[in-house]
Amino acid sequence: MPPGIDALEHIVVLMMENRSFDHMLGGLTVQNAQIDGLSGSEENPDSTGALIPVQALADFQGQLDPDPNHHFAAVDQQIFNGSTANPRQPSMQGFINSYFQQRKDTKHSRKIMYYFTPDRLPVLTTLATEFAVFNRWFSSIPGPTICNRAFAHYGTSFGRVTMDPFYAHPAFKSIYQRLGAAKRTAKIYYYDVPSSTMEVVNLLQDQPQFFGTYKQFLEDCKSGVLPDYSFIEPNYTDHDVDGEPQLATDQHPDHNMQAGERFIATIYNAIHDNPKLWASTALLIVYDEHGGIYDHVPPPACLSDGFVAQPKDTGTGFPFNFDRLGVRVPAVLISPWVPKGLVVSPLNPDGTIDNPRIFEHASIPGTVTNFFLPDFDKNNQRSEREKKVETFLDLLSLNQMRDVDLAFDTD
Amino acid sequence: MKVLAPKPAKGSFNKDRRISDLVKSQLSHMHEAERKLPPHHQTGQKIESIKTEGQASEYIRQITERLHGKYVVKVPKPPRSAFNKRRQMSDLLKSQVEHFNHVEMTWPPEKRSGTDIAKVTTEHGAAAYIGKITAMMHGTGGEKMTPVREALAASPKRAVKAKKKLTKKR
Repeated sequence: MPPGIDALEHIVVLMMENRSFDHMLGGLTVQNAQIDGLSGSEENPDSTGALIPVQALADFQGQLDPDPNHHFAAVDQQIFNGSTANPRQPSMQGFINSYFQQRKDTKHSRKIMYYFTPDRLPVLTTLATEFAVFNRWFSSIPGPTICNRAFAHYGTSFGRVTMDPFYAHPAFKSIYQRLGAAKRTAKIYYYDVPSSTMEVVNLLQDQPQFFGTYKQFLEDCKSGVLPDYSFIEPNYTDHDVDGEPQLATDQHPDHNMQAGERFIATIYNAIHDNPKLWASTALLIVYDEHGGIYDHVPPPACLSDGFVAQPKDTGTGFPFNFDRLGVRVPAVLISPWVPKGLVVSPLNPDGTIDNPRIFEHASIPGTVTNFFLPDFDKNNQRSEREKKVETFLDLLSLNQMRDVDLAFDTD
Repeated sequence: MKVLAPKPAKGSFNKDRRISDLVKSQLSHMHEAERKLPPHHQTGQKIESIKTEGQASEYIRQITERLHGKYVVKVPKPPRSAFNKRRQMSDLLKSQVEHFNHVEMTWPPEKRSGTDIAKVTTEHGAAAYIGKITAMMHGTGGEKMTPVREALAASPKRAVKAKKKLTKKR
């Protein structure tokens, strides 16, 4: 077993909100051609039929208002652009047309093609180039937040593709329940009480013991008492606490991107500043879904989790068998045991990828369970999809820990 | 045998000395390595402008440290104007409020917050409501605190289950 795995004691996942891979990291291709980002020639038709290319004009706030639609039917349009062929091939040509529906403003709808240059997002892009960046990490469902986050907690959304409240199927335990039952430790750290959690109906309601705050996370890092598994939720709202403004840090449109960058930096710094924790922790930063924003990579087919969403829920007139992933999202794995500048499933010069490794949010409970609970499947308490999903700890492959003296100054 | 190595003369130190061809080569090698660093780790310095050994050593120090991964990335602060607690809730926040309300409606009427979520429209309003219900679920909401077990029993489906359990115990 590689020494990085031997040393591993903690897995931390930070799940941000609603940005696509190309929007955040697509500009990195210029400096590393192995990263499957943007060449600049990618385009989508607008409402007049004109082909509009991607442009490095993304701003920190104020561009994506209204919030681009990313409910199931809208994402279906973004991916297939209304194709009725049988079988349909994902063309990734319907992003502008989908956004146009909301304001009927052709000029505004083109902003869905904007992306950031790396210098605008120094935290995420530095981490992506210093550690491991995934060329093929997709959201689990071509749909919105709640059901995608469910895959990170349960390895399934129990047949849900909407934002409606739902109750978890008792046959499938959450990753926190699994670890708790095995006397391991796990926590969901939400930002603060007014921001709270997206996992309210099933976990906060029944199992508040699994929750802590961001402040507590920072203290736990400092004192070296982090649980085996931690899941961090950003601040979802602009609100006051004791008269102090708390900026939303989730990067959900139209929240400020720099506030999210600083949040990511503080999570990294908290782990990095404790040498013992740094040597024994793998931190994954990932986005829950693309938020309706353009990405050029067609989502691949996947193993169904056995559920079927009905046409009344999909809004497309057709059922969904959970046999195709959602749009690609940014994902970065951070550990001193990861080779510098690793690109997972690197792009060849001819634009192909040899045997691409496909990751999705079920990879999170899949990885955590395989690592901490190797005998878990005796109880058959997770989906077949999760059992067979790609896991990521093999990326901690170095024989010796790297000396990484990278820090973020957030003063 | 001890051989005395004479100290150089004081005047021999000259950081303003013009760089040799050797140092010029080192600079061009450093510059080549710098080009492979992420853009925000690059100095933006043109090596043609480096004329003296002092300037060269400063440039070489910066690039060597960065190649060793020793760098601090300054993270800009958002402007004050970024904060807007009166921003209208997104669909995500609406859903979050609905989920909290879904839980609250399973509690006995006297334990509920009395909030009409139709009137919750801004981020600040959402945070206030979500914060209130979260505190109650954690059992830290003061007088309105609702014990979770008791609260769950108010849900029609769960009430039947809870009743069955209680009957069994008796």
